[in-house]
Amino acid sequence: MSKDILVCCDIMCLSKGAEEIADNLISASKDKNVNIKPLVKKVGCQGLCAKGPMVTIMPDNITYYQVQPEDAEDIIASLDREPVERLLHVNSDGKAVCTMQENEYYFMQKRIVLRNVGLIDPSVIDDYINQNGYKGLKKALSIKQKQVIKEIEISGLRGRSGTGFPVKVKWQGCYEAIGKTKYVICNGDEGDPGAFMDRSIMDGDPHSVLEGLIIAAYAVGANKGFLYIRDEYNTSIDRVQAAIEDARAKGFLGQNILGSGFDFDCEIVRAARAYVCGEETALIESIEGKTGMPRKKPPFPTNKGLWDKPTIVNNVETLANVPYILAKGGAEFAKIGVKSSTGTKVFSLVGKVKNPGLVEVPMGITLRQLIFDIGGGIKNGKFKCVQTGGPSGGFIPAKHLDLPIDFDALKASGSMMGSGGMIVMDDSTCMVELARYFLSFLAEESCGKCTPCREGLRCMLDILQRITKGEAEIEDLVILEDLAYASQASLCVLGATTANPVMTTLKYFRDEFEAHIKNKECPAGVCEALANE
Amino acid sequence: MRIDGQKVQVLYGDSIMDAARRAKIFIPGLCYNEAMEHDHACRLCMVEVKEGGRDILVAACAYEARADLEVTTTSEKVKRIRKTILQLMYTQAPENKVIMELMDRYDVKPEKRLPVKDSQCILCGLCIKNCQYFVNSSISITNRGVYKKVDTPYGEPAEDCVGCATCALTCPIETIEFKDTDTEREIWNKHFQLLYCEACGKKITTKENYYSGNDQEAPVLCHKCSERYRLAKDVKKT
Repeated sequence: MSKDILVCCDIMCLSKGAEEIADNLISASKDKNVNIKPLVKKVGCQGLCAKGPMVTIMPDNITYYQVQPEDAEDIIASLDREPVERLLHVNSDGKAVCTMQENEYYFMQKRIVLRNVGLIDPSVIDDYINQNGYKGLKKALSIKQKQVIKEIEISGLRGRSGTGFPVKVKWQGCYEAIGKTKYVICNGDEGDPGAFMDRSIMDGDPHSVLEGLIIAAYAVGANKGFLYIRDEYNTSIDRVQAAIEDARAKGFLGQNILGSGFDFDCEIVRAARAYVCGEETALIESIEGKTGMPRKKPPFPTNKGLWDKPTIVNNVETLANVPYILAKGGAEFAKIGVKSSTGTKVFSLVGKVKNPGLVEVPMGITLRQLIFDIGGGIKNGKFKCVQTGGPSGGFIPAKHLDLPIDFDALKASGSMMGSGGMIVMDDSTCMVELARYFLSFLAEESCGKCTPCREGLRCMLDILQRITKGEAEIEDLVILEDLAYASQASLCVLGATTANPVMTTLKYFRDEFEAHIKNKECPAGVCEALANE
Repeated sequence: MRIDGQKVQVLYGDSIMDAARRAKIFIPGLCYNEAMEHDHACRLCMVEVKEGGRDILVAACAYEARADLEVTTTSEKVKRIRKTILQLMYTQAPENKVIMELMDRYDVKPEKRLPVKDSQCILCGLCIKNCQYFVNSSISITNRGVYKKVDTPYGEPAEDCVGCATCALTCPIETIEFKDTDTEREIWNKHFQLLYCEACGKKITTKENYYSGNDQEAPVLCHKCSERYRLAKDVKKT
């Protein structure tokens, strides 16, 4: 009987010696006394980064955690015997469990986007095909373009990159746009601090993104695509490049794809190392070779995008959903999640939680479930707030923990879904300092085109700096609110959301601002200038 | 289209701003220039329009005008934003005449608590666009984000600059400086020789600018005199 040993080789596990574990497993399996010769595969992120490196034995479905290179021999020896007890996960009820599904970290999760991440060797196209890969594409090519868009409409899929714009509207708009030349772009310029969802998908399952892109191209009638990938993501770029070449060799890319008469090819563009290039019109400018600065909207890219041709820009995670929807049907997908936000969402859960890692949950579960049931709660101290939506998202306090995770509910709270970064803070965090930190990030990354964003950020940052130093007065808060209000006049979404960190901290933690200003003290004891002697 | 209740004629391709200016309705806007594509960057022209039953905030210079639009330039929302943006502009170009006039017009006071920049530029980008389209692209934006400024390459006198001063003449807040003496012009840290018309004695432009559009052997003539000279030459030929 053949067995696979899947060693998680995502960055987090690599830094803890996953490479050496894989090497040791290979050399240990060469021993003459070993009955079963396993195939050792280096796979993508398996999720529970806090307990890495993770090693999974298939088809037995046994997962080991915090594996050390010395454990390799025991693991190999156990292949035809009992599992290695000491490496198993112990749930909070004290019971050791073998499978991932029994691990309480995975109870509430549902892996759609991450369906293959951590299970297949990302560099082997046959692994992907064996997991029903490229079935969605075959289905798509067998029906009309309109029917593909209809299927997306039924699924209710909304863009996973930030605002949750319905994917169907973009595709329909581009499909109907006049013009022979059209483009599709995959936005892989993930820039939020603490976010690594898109990287994990591209590293662990590059073909799912590629397949999504090809289906999108077929639906809108584009023959050329670009994958705009963050320049720092070297592994992602290598994996996606290899995936493109493999797909081309198998006939999934190029002329007359699978005999359907549809031609499509794509290439990678290394991103310009600017946060603002994640905004779709700035991204388009960047691909054109210009400085990445947003354009005015309307006209929208679906009518006038790359080189003024109709273009759709979709995020990595959005595209990774598409093959699943086509293969299983939009109605099946719409059953997951809640009515206004269907499907699942991948989050990189980081910060002060016990189990930081990569999670994928159905829409509609509450923040409390995500942070306390899956994340295991706060490591030390008390929960204070959670940031969703990256630097231009907002901070959600404890009283809103029962908020369901869906696009509209999060927006109503003053934050946003964003691309899926989720940073949990405990009570050792000073909210003023935190807002100052994120504003300084945005000030560095603002493209500087329009006044409210460029000058507004500079002035807001100045006020927050004065507050943390105890040099501000209560009138400054009024000005801060005016500045935050004016940010909605910005040219692009990034500019318009820059005020979110300020708005939400002022809304939910105003007392901390007042303590800094009136009493000259920092309740969390973070701001140095206000520390008691 | 209606702007604050007043009927305004809309032509094909108009932005709200185009139609408003033609109808002599004033909407403030500093980066706006009807003669060229601009950046929509100053955001002073924010107005509210009714669309699909709800009010949305748009930049008048960027939003396409339509006959069924109802535009408001005086709502509380617009006023609050305009006030803040004017105050922000003040911090970029303190005591600038044009900005002070706009502040007076809308009864906005400079906010002393905001940090003032050591500059006299609102970074609207009009000078750069003009230099790019009509001259030599010898100035551009340098740095990024909040550190942005308009400058010549590496802050050195630009090789391509011909001293035409188009940038200074298109600056909406009249802040780009050039100094003319009898014989010389100084702009962007570069010195240029000024030329005078050989026929009428009028000051024309810099030597570099003149010869970038004329033959090296051509006589130095102002626009009017060169027209006469050309006509005379044509008459001779016939």
